Amino acid sequence: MPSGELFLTAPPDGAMRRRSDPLGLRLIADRYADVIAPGMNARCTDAHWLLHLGWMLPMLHAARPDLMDLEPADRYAWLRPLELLVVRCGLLSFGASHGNGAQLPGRRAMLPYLDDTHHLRRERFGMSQHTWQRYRQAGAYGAYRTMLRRISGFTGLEGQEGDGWTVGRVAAALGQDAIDHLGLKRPMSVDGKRSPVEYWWDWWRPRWDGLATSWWRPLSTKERVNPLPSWPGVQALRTAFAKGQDADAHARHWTIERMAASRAADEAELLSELEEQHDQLHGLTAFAALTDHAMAVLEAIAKGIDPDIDLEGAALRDASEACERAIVATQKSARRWRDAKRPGWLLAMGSDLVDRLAFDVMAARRPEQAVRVLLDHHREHGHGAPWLSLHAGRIHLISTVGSQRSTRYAYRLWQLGRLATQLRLLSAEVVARLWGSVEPEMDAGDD
Amino acid sequence: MTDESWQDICVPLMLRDQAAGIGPWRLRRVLLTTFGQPDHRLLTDHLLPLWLGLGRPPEADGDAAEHRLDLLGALGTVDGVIIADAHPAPGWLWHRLPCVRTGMAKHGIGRIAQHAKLWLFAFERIAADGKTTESALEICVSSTNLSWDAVHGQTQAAWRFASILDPTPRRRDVRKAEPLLRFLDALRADVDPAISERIQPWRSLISRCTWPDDLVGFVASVPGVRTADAWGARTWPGTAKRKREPTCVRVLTPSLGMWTDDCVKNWCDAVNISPAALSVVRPGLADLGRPPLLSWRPSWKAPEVQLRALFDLNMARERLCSSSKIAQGAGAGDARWFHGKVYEFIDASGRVIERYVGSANFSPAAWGRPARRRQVAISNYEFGVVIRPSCRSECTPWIDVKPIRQFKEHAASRDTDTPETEPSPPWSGWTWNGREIIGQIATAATSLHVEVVLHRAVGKPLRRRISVPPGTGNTHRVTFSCATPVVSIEVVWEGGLRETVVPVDVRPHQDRSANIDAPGQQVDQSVLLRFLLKQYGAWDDGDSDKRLGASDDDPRESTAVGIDAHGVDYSQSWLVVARQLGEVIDGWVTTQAAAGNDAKQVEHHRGRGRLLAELMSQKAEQLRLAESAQPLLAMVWSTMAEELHMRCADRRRP
Repeated sequence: MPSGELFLTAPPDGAMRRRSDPLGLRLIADRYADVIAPGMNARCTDAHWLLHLGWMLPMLHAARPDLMDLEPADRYAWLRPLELLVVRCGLLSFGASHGNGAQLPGRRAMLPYLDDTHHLRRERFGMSQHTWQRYRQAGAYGAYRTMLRRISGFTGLEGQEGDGWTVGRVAAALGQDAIDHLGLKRPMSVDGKRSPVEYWWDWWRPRWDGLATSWWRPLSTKERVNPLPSWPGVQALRTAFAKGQDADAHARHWTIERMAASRAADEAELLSELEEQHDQLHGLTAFAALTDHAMAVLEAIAKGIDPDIDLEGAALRDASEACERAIVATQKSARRWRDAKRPGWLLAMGSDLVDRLAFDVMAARRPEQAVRVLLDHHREHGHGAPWLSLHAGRIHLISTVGSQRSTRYAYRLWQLGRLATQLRLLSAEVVARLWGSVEPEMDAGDD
Repeated sequence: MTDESWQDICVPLMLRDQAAGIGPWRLRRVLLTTFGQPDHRLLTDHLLPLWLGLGRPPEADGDAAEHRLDLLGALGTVDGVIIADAHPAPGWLWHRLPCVRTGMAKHGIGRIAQHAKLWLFAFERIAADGKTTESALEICVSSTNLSWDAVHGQTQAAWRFASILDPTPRRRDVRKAEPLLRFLDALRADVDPAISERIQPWRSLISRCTWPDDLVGFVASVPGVRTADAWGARTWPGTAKRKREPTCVRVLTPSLGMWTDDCVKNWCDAVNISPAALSVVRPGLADLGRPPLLSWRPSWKAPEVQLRALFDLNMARERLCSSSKIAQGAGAGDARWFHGKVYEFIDASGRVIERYVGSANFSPAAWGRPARRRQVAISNYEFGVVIRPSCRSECTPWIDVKPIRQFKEHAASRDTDTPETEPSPPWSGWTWNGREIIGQIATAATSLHVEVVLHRAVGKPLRRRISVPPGTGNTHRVTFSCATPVVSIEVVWEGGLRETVVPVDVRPHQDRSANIDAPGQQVDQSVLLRFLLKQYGAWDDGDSDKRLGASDDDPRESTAVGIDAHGVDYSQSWLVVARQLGEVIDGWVTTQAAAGNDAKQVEHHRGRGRLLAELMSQKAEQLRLAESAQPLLAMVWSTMAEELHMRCADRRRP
C-alpha cells in the first residue's frame, strides 16, 4: 500500500512531448492527406502489423468469447501481450541490429531483458507502469486502429467501417492463414483468473521459435520493401485495401496508380503531379512549400539557441544564414500560395489562417519581422507542446518537440507507397526512386 | 528517477499500485482546484488520459477524434469537478468535467482569489475476492496549477497520500482531517449551489481515511474577515506539541506580499516562532549558473518596495545556495523555475523539524492581516500541509542558503495579494438541467444590468437582458427555458467587461453518462450528431460520421473524395445515405417503443429525436449552401429530418 510522500516535481516524462502542430495547420494537411490516402495515419508504415493484428483478433475472441462485453481498456489488456510477443519475436529475429529502424513499439524497454523470459513475463515486458498503460496508444494497435476500422471488412461488414474489434472477413482470413501456414493453434477460452500476460506467454511459448521467419518480422526502414506472401488472407487484405468498392479503397487505388505511372524524382514532384490531376488537391504544393519553409525557419532559430549557455537565446538580429535563406523561401512560397488555385473545402478548414500567415510573411520587410510573424503565429495558433516563444525581443526555447520529424506536415504518401509495395500493388522501385534512404516518420514510442 | 524526492506529480499513487490478480484501480471521482484558468489541453492530452487509463493521446494524425471519443466515454463513469479562480476558455471538456469559479458568497474583503491547489481522487477496484469493491482516496497538496507551464515549466513542491478507506470513520483521523473538511465546506458555499452536491460526497470519503503519523495537519485559508483562530496562520497545526524548538524558519516562495511589522509579528506568533528566526530566502540570481529560480519572468514586475520592506524588517537576509537541492533541480538540463511554496522549520542542529508545502505564498493575502477584534482579513483560498520528517534523509533541508547584505535584484511578484480597496468583481454561475438555464449573479453593486448571450448547440444564439434591481442582496437568480444543450454563455457586464462561461450540466448522472451527447463548441455539433446517429443505429465506430458526412471536418468534402481518371464518381451514393438514415430512424423508433410505459424514458428519447432532427436539418442546409453543393444529398438529409420531426411530434405512435 503506498504511503504519503513529500516531493519536488520531476520533469514530466515523454508523454508530455506529444506530437505537435506548431503552425496550427494540421487540419488542412490532414485533409489533403485524407484525399491522398484516406483511412490511414502517419504511423501506418508496415503491412506486417496489419497481418499480425489480423490474426490476433480471431485468437483473442477464441480466448475471450466475452471480449465485446469487456470495457475497452480491459479488452485491450488482452491484446497487449500478443502485440508485445510479436515485438519480441521481431527483436530476436533481427539479431545484433536489434531492429533499429523497424516499427517495434516497446523495443527499448524490452531489449535489456530479451532472453530473460521470467523477467519479461513478470515485469510487464520490461516496461514501467506508465509506459505499460500508454502502450494502448503507443503500440501497434494504437497505430493501426484507424486502418482496422476503415479497411472494409476487416473488423466489420463489407462496405461498412468496423469497430476495431469484431472479426470481419479479412481478419478471419488472416487468422486462418496463421493457422494454415504458421501452425498457430486456436487458443482455448480462458478459464479461472489468469492474467492476460500469463495466458498468452503459455500459449505462445511452444511456437515462437518457428515463427522467426523473414516475412514475420516488421520491416526495418533501411531494408528493401519486400512483398508479403500470397496467402488467401493477404489477398483479401490486398483487395480490401485498394480494390474494394468503398470510397477509401478507391481513393487509395487512385493514388497508387498515379504513383506507379509517375516519373517524379521526389515527393515534391509527385505532389505536384497529383495536384494537377485532382481538383480536391489544388493548392497542395504551395501549402506544402509554405509550411515546410516556415518550419525550416523555426528550426533554424531553435538550433541557434544553446540552452546550456543562455536559455534566453539568440536575439532576433542573430538570425543565422540558414534562417535567412529559409525566410526568403517562405516569402516566395507565400506568394505562390496567394496565387494558387484552391479546392472548395479549404475555406471551411481554415484557409484564412494560411492566408493570414502568408500575407504577414510577405509583408515583412526585414528577416526579423518575418521571424516575429512566424513566432507570433506559432504562439497564437499552434497546438500541442509549445516550441519557441518570443518575449521582449528575445526568443526562448520552450521544448524541442518542434524539431522532431513527426511534427512536420506530411501527406502519407510514403506510408501508402510502402504498404502498397508490401501488398503487391506497387513496384518497390517506385518507392526506392521517390524516397531512397528517407528515414521514417516515427514517433517516440516507435523506437 | 532514482531520487525518491523527485516524483512525477501527474501519476497518482494509486495507479502505481496495480497488484497482480486484482482488478485495476478505476478513477470514480475527482476534485481539482487551481488558480487562474485550467488548461483544456493539459487535461485532455495528458492528465485525464493518464488518470482514466487511456494511455497517451494519439501521436499520429487521424486519431484525434477517436481519442476524444475514448475520453468522453471514460469520463462518463467519473464524477468530477474543477474549482478555479476564473472561468476557463470554452471547450468541450467542461461539459463533462465542469469547471466553476469561486466568488458567489459575500466575503466583504474586496477581490478574492482561489489560490489553493488541492487534488482529490477517489478510486475503486474489485477486491481480491472478486465480489466486493474496495475504495481508496488520494490527496495531493501542492503548488501546481492546472496549466501547461505548471507541469512542464515549473518545479513544484508537493505532498500526496493515498489510503484504502475504512468502512467507518475513526475519531482521531476525522479530527486530523477537520481543516480539510471545513475547507471543502467553505468552497461549497462559494460556488454555484448546483455543484455543492458534487463536493458533498468527499466528506464521507475523507472521514474514512487513515492518515499517516508524519502528517502534523492541514492548514487552510478562506477569504473574508474571520475569527483569527478559524483560518490562516493561526490554525498552523502542532505548534504546541513541538519536541524541539525551531531556531530558524526559512521561507522560499516565488512571490512575496507586502508585509508590515504587525503582519510579521502576527504570523510569527501564529506559528510560534520568534520574528528573529524568520528568514525569507531570496534566489541567487548571479551565482546559480542556470535560469534564475525566481523573478525571471519579465511580466512579473516586482515592486522594489516589497523587498525593501522585507529588508527593513531584517527578514530577507539569505539567498539560496547554488548547491541547494532546489537550486540544482532534478538534474542536468532541468531548466524549470521554482514555483513551490516551501517553509522549513530548522532546529539548532540544522535539521528540518517541520516542513510546509502547499499553495500559500509568503503574503498577508494568503495568511491574513490582523484586523479589529482579534480577527484576520484573508484574501485567498489557500491550502497546505505540515509534515514532520520521519527519517533522517527527510530532515536534510531543501533550502541551503548563504547570507546576503543587500538587494540589487528585482523579486517576482504576481502575487494574489490584492488590496482590500479593490472592489469585488461581479460573479456569475450557470447551470443547465435539461430544461432550463439557471443563473446565479452575485454583485456588490446595488443594481446591475447584464446582457447574456446563450450559444446553443443548435440554433441561433439567444440574447437576454437582465436587470438586477436594487435591494436584491448579494445574489440574484435568473432562469431561462432552454431544452437544447448550451455550448457557452457570454456574460456582458455593465462597463463592457465580458466573460464566457460553460454552464454546468446538472442533469441526473445517468442522463449525462448514458449517452455521450455533451454539447460543445461550434465544431462539436458534428460530434453531437455523430453520437446521436450512433445511438440510434449507425454502426458503432468512430468514423461513421465520415460515411454520413457528419464529421468535424468540412461536410462538403467528407462524402466526396473525388473523381478518378476514368470518370468514375466514387463519392458516396445518396441511396446509401438514405438507407442508413432510414436505419437510424428505425433505430430511434425501436428504442422509443422499447421504453414502453416509462414516460420519462419516452420523453427522453423524444427529446433526443427532436435534437437529432434539428441537427439533420442543419446538415442538409450545410450541404445545400456549400460551395461544392450536393443538392441530392441535402435533399436526403432534409427529407429524413422531416420524417423524424413528424415522428417526434406524433404522440400516438413513434
